[in-house]
Order: sequence, then structure tokens, then C-alpha cells
Amino acid sequence: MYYYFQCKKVGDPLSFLSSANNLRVTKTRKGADVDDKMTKLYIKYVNCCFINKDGDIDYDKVKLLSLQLNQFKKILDRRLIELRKYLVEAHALNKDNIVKEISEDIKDLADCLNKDFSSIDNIEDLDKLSIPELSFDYYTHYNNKLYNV
Amino acid sequence: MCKEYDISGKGVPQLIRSDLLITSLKKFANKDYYDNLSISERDDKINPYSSHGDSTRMRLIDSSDRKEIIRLLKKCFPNITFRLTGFFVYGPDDYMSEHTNSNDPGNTMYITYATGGSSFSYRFHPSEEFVKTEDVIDDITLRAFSLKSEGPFTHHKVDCESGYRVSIGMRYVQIK
Repeated sequence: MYYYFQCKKVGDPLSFLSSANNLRVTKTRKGADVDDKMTKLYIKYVNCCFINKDGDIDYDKVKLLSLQLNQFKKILDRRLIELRKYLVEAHALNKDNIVKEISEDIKDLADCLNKDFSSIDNIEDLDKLSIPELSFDYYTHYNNKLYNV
Repeated sequence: MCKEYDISGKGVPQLIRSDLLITSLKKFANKDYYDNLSISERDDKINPYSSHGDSTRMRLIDSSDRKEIIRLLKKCFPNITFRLTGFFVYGPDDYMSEHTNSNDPGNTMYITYATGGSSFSYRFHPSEEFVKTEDVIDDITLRAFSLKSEGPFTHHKVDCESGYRVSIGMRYVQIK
């Protein structure tokens, strides 16, 4: 099987395709080595990538950052829903210390995306971007604290 | 004085407020705190290519304290964004055997506060001798390096001969 990146014209968004035939490489079609680390990233973020005027695969860093931040926003919204649920439960159980802790977490989370990430200019770092508060396991933490489970 | 090891040659994230970091991590590097933590222990056959330590003995920092550590590290390292990957306290004779973390590649930093003789050793191939880097006593030691999903790996291990050693691991991206 042969793999390619292809676009309609230089600078247009890419598509990734596989073919049983060895296709001719052109200005708008490049062969893809699917075992290569960078190629894997170009496939993952194919909608943010294009073939530039030098014939190389390039990416739109603003579009990619925006994609990542949108993903973080979705995770953030889920975390906030989760924490508000625990807040109600902690209130009902009269666990004031936990109510205070959850309130602080909500405050931290609400602020966690307010950072300037615009200086990140390589696809590997954009791929690895993470937010500390979003990777915390609130589910296990508060189930332990509220219910000892 | 804080000690930095730039193992991959890409630089070590800038630490500001080392005083704050020392004061905070000191709270976890003592017998009372250590004795109240749950033990994490494994005793499998050591494979230098394992992603995690096959043979380990240390304790895991409590999850409430992990949140405090996140807040602290955001203040102390304002030029990076990160995800914490390890929160351990090693006591006398605790250890983590050689491993690669190849299942979680990325720019890595280990932040250590130690009260006794402890070290982090690394090598890039099991046929090589380990390069041993000692922790600074009663201060912060920073080690930065790149972890890869494919070789050559940074094989590394930890030994705590005496005292207590707090170790916080992270994957980070420089944002400034």
C-alpha cells in the first residue's frame, strides 16, 4: 500500500490518501512515510496542514493552536460540570472543607486557559500542549474524599 | 544552591521563586509525612527497556497535596505549561529501577528536594555505564531531558540511600 498527502492546489488544506498503486508525485501530491514521527503528526492534524511553495508539508500554527484550545475548552466544561456536581454533594453532606476545596478548584479551572500560548511554533510542542489542572483526576480525588471509595 | 542538570542539552526551564519551592517541598520530605503515605512497591524482573520501573519502592504523594504542587509549580515556572506525571517520596533505601518512560514521550523535568544521599542515574544504552547525578541536600535539583517513544532512550533510575527525597515529574512545553 502507498500513502500520500494531496491537495487541490499549493497552500490548500491537505487530505491523506492510501492507494494500491504507486502514484506519480507532483507539486500537489507527496509520498508519506507513515512510520515517520512527523508524518504521524501531519496525519493527526491533516486539516491544519498544507503543501507550501517549496513543496514541503507545512502547518498553520494558529489553526492548530485553536484546535487544541477548543479541545481543552471541551475538557474544561466537562470538569466544571463534574466539580459542580461534587459541590452540591459536599454541601448536602455538610463537608465544609471539601466545599471550600472544590470552590478553589473551580476558580483555578475557570482561569486555567488564560495564558498566552502564541509563542509555541512547532507541531510537536503544539501536540504535547497540556494544562495541569485539566489532567488532574478530580473524579477519584472527590470520590475518595466524599465517600471513601 | 539549586542544581540543574541539562541532560538533553535543550535547556532547563527557568525557576523563579526557588525559596517558595524549597519551603513547600520541604513539608513532604520528612519521616512524618512519608510514614502516612501509601506504599508503592513492585518487585518484578528488571528489564532496562521497560517503560516503568519493574522494581520500585517509594510512596505516592496524597492527591490533595498534588493540587497544591500544581499551584506552586505554576508560580515557580511561569514560562512553561505542563502535566504532572509523578509525585513520589522516597525514604531511606527506597528506589526505582531502570526504565525508559517510552510510553509517554516529551520534554521532561524532574524536580527534586532531598534531605540525604540520593541520586538519579541515566544512560542512553544498557551497554553503557550509568551517569550518576547526585541530589543537592536540602535544596532543589532540576533535571531536564527528552523522553522518546523510539530509541535511543534515556534509561534512568533512582536510588535513595538516606534521608527523604521528594520527586515531582512533569512533561512540559515552553510557552515563553
